[in-house]
Amino acid sequence: MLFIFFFIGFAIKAGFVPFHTWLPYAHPAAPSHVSGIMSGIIIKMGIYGIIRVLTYIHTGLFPIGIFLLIVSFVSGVLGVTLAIVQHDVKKLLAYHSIENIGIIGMGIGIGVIGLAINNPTLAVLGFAGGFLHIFNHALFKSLLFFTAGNIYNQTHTRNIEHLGGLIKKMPKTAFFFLLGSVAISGLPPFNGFISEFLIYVGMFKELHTGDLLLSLVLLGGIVGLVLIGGLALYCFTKVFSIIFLGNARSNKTEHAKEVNGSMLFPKFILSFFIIFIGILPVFVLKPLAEIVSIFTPDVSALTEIIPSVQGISVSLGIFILMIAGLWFVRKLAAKNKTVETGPTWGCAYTGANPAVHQYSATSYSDYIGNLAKYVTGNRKQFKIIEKDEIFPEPRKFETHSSDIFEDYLVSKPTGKLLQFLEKIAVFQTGNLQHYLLYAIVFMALILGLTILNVL
Amino acid sequence: MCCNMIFNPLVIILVSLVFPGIITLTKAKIAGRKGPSVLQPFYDNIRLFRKGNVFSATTSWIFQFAPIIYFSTVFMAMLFIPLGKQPAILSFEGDFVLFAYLLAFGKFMMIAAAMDTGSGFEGMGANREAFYSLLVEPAFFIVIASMALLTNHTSFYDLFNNLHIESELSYLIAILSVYIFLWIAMIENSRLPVDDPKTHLELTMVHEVMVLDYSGFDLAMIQSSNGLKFTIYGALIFNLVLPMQNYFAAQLGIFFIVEFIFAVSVGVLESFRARNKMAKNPQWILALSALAILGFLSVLIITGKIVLMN
Repeated sequence: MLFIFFFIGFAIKAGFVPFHTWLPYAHPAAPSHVSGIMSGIIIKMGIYGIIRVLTYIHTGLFPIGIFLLIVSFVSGVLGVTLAIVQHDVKKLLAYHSIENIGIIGMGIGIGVIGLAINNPTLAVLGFAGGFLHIFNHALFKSLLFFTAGNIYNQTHTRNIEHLGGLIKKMPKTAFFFLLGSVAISGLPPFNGFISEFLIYVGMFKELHTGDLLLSLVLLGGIVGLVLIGGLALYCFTKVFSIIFLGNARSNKTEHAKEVNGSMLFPKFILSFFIIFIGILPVFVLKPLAEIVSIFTPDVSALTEIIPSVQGISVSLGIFILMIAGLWFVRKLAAKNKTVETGPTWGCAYTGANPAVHQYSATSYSDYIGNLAKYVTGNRKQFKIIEKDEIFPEPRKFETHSSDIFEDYLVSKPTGKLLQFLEKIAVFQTGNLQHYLLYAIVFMALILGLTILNVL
Repeated sequence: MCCNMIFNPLVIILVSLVFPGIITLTKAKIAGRKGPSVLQPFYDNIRLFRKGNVFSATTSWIFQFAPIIYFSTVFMAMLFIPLGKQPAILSFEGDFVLFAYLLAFGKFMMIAAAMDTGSGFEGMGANREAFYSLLVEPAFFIVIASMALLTNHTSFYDLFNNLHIESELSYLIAILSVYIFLWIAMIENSRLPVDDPKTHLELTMVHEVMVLDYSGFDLAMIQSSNGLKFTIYGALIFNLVLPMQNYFAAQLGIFFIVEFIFAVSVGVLESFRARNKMAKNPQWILALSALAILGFLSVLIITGKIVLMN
């Protein structure tokens, strides 16, 4: 019970669904570098609080673990679903913080379950994955916020529907944004994959050992991580493509050019760590083991996983060499060949306006918007063409999305409260005589109550 | 040892060269046509490899880089595949996670490349690819999870080699898994019933429309990766149905037979099945995950975690 209250408090800070509603407003309002710190460190204080409280609890851990896992599952899946329908790049990234908090929470939840059933492997790998993801998230989310800042700096808009084709004007920013996108989707060879991998291995390894409930819970965890991964891929292919690829969607990108070196420098450091942890994760296992040993003294599971982690390093090494090799071969093959440029194939139709006839962020997110319309509250506003309308007049088509939690947990209750308070406001007339009257009535009331011995 | 190492990739690559050819030939025979040689797709690729490139003016380096990454991811995924008793080059605990995520990375780049052209059609295909792969991914992981639950192992090699040791009941799971893998392979390669590669109508295509602007070397690379991807799923199916065998030659024979049957069944399925309505695809794909969960529940019964009343 005590844990629940602690949890609610820290969950508001960390941004677990349904306590996340402040995050998507705070991030766009803050300058980008501050957003990076907010996402990387400040909301992690909530996670830190939860972990600190957990160290004091030694009984009834199993329900707490299940509770954490379920809340994190919901945060993860809904966070990224809501992110997909956003058009404001920083709001989108804010929702992704919620998703990543979900992944972290899932790792910690799995760890707590492992503690509760005395299963050191599950506990160690769950905690290790969760803790590593805290650090990883700080890295790639800062990178993404910083690059989003570059874009805002050059185009003065955060609406991705106004952008497009920026990769030609800001190639370095585009590269860093791509790196961050791939890392946050949890794909190899970057760091996001490693933390998810640890949680995955923990869950797969212990499927067999526990009882029925544990197996089902772990299956739920696996499906949750897979869904989050898939949705994140969907989301970041959208946001990267819409901002950087294709043709410009408005004239806002006209004067954009690459930012100066001092704005790029921090990104090199972040990228270095993202790639380093992604390819050589062996080096982070030792510090991780020290942190995890706060919870369980037996951290042998982390030593047991070293062969796997080395396997990953070797595989990714081959992978990168292969990409380099193929690039070289392709260069060789292109020698003495004709390389032409032409327009994009448009089904032989050349009159298209390239800015308009390409996929927009709204159309890209339409599938998820419809699938999850109860959460995202997608609404479309348009006039249907009537049958007798022979010459249709120009029309508008608008789509809106909102956040169901914000609507029902924050906006509606505060709205109701405001309505009630407005009714009371008739007393606030601004007339001094009235206020004096209130004072006299109040004094008379007190006097009366004292006489009647009620007070 | 050295020969053992390159044996699996060699065999898989060999099969992948004729795999698309067998599908085309089967479809031709069923339709009553003579059909091209099984090596025709291979010859086409060779021809493409020697050709020059045409790039759209809208595209950037993403477009040129994506096929290389796509090919590399599929090639790497192949290195994780064991063949019966023959272990894979790369094998460790949790290798299937890296397998799935590497393929996802390739997909990420291909989607980005399709969006890079700024074409509405390719955007549509890319969007569908992202959506369908998101829906199909859970099925793969649940199948693997049921095998991990059954065998208490967490690498491809151990999963497959311990699958049929304890009880014959595991064949039930194997059959279900084969069915699911078959459809996963169809979806991942954008074949019927999710997508019809032969329609040549941009509006209804998924994978084919994404590569509309590719030519020459890059297109050849994409086509060969597609064949390879199909063969990899065939190899997974082979591992599932392989009975405990110690004879190397017999295993190799069974592998070729399984891949052949797989290719022919794809051809047969494509000849007799119509494409799903686009809007119905999500439900259809999710049904695979539901089936996979059924498999997981059966494993729970087999392992005695769910005790059935007598």
